Amino acid sequence: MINPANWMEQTSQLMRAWSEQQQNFMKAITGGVAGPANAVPPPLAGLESSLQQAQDLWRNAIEKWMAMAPQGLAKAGNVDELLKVMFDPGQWSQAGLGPLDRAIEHLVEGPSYATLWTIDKKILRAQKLRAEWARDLAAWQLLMQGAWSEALKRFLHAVHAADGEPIRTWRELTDLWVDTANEALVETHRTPEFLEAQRRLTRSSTECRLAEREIAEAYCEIHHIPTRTEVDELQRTVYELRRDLRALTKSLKSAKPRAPRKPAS
Amino acid sequence: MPFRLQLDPAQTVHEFAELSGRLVRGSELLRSVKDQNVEVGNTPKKEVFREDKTVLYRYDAVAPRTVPVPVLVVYGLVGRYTMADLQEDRSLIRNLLAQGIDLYVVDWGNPTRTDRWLTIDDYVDDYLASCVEHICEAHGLDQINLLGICEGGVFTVCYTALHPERVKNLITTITPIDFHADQDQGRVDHGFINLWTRSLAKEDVDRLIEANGNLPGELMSFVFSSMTPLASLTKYNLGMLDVMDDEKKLMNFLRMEKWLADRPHHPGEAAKQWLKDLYQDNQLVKNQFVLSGRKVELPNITMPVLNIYAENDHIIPPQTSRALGTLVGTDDYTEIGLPGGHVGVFVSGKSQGVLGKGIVDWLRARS
Repeated sequence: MINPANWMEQTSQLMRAWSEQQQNFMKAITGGVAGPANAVPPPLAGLESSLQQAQDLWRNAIEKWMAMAPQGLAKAGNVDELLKVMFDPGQWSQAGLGPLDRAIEHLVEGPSYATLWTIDKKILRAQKLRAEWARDLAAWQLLMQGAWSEALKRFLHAVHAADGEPIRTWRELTDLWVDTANEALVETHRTPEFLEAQRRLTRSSTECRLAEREIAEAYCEIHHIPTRTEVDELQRTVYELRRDLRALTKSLKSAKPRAPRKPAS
Repeated sequence: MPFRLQLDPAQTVHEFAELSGRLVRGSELLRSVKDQNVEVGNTPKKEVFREDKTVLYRYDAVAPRTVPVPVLVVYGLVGRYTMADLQEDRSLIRNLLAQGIDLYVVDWGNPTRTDRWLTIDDYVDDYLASCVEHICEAHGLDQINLLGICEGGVFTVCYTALHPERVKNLITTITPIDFHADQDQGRVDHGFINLWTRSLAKEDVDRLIEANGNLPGELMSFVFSSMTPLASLTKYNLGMLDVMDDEKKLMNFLRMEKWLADRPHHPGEAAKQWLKDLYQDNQLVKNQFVLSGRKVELPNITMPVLNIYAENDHIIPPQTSRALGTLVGTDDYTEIGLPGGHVGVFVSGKSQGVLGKGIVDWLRARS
């Protein structure tokens, strides 16, 4: 039986231990596993900030859960409000999304030479496209926010469901949240509105990147530096020559008489 | 008042203490693990042929031959062949070797922007054809067995339809054939890639490739993550928390992460064919897909065919694979549906024996 007088002290000790362990955990996975750079990126490299973000989220949720426990639900006030704080869509739609967002960042990021050629029409076009990209990103985020809000609504509904199993642990509560949110997000991903928003975002980020390439190429041409387009053309020539060489080598080889082969029995 | 919440202070303290203990043990374990400890695809093999970035390997034999004709394993360009050899006790490669199969694997290498212009024509009718020729010559054979995985399954199907005289038996695993059959299943958690690809305009694909020079591996990872958003979001927290104090499970987790992180870029022109000709226009089932100026006609596949699919494959829904049975020209067509998902078929403990044994038994009966 827990002695309520010792409760806060025990909790405080556990929370201190938790924080230390989190730090050790982060150190271990970002310092220990990530190995030397090579052609194959280490599996966990570069995840520190998104992991930390997500860890903070867990800790916040667990702390709230722990705080509820000693006083009992009857004294915990508005539990729905507490659950909303624990599983706040505003945070969940951001935390730990680093790996997911990286692809979009990769598409969006490109050379920025906005301080060069400020009167060039290319700059204006790139700026216009960047504004379009920002608009498409906002539309995409709005749909995602809607999905997270729907997830929370369904989660609260599930918590109140009269026919569900009792929820006794933080883990059971979190598993319910994860399952419910996953379902809501997957459903959103398949809607025509989301698919169109994602298509527009992909396209506008692509056009933005290509417009910035045009600016970079204008700079390259003035300074006698090969452009991306020229390098692509060169690579195409090399590709075609290689393909022709392979074909020629094979035709020469097949012209030579070869040893009889046995059928595969 | 929430109806289902029943907090018990004693249980809460116990849960928290257990969690903390697990984190301590897990942190100690993780500290002792280095990147070089997390090995994938390490079954011993030797390079026997190379053409540009394509490398053909032959695995070292570990048992007397039970099937006289070698098997060439062909993976796709979306991931790496090491999925079939993730670790010692979860390896299709080791299972096949242990049962006396003479095994080769083709490694397409790590395509960069310089490989932008490579097409599926090059991969199927050139690199794969060269690998098959090399094996035939080395063994003095006219035909070999092909085992394709995922996109590599499509490559083997195309090669076999174009060069049926070179293939004794065709084995496809988790291979999409009817790229629109996902719509027949009506499952909300299956076939997102099919849906996503169809939502793109052809010009979107062209411009994406123009901007990047390839189909970025990161983009495909993002699309894969979108199929299981919360699992992706919580895998380094909840997922890892569940395994981090068990060395064996933790190493399994890290090996899988290493394989997932090793996602190559898909060469640009080949990606256009993959997304537009196959995913969008579904040309393979219409016998309209053209490689090297020739139509890929599936009725030309008249040798025995074994088609293995995963019953809960959310990436390649079963119906998209099973379509092969009605399209090939052979009377000797066998299907095996295995429990599990796309990757699980190759790496789960449950499927290990079933997958390898299923393939070897089928081959032996046709040797």
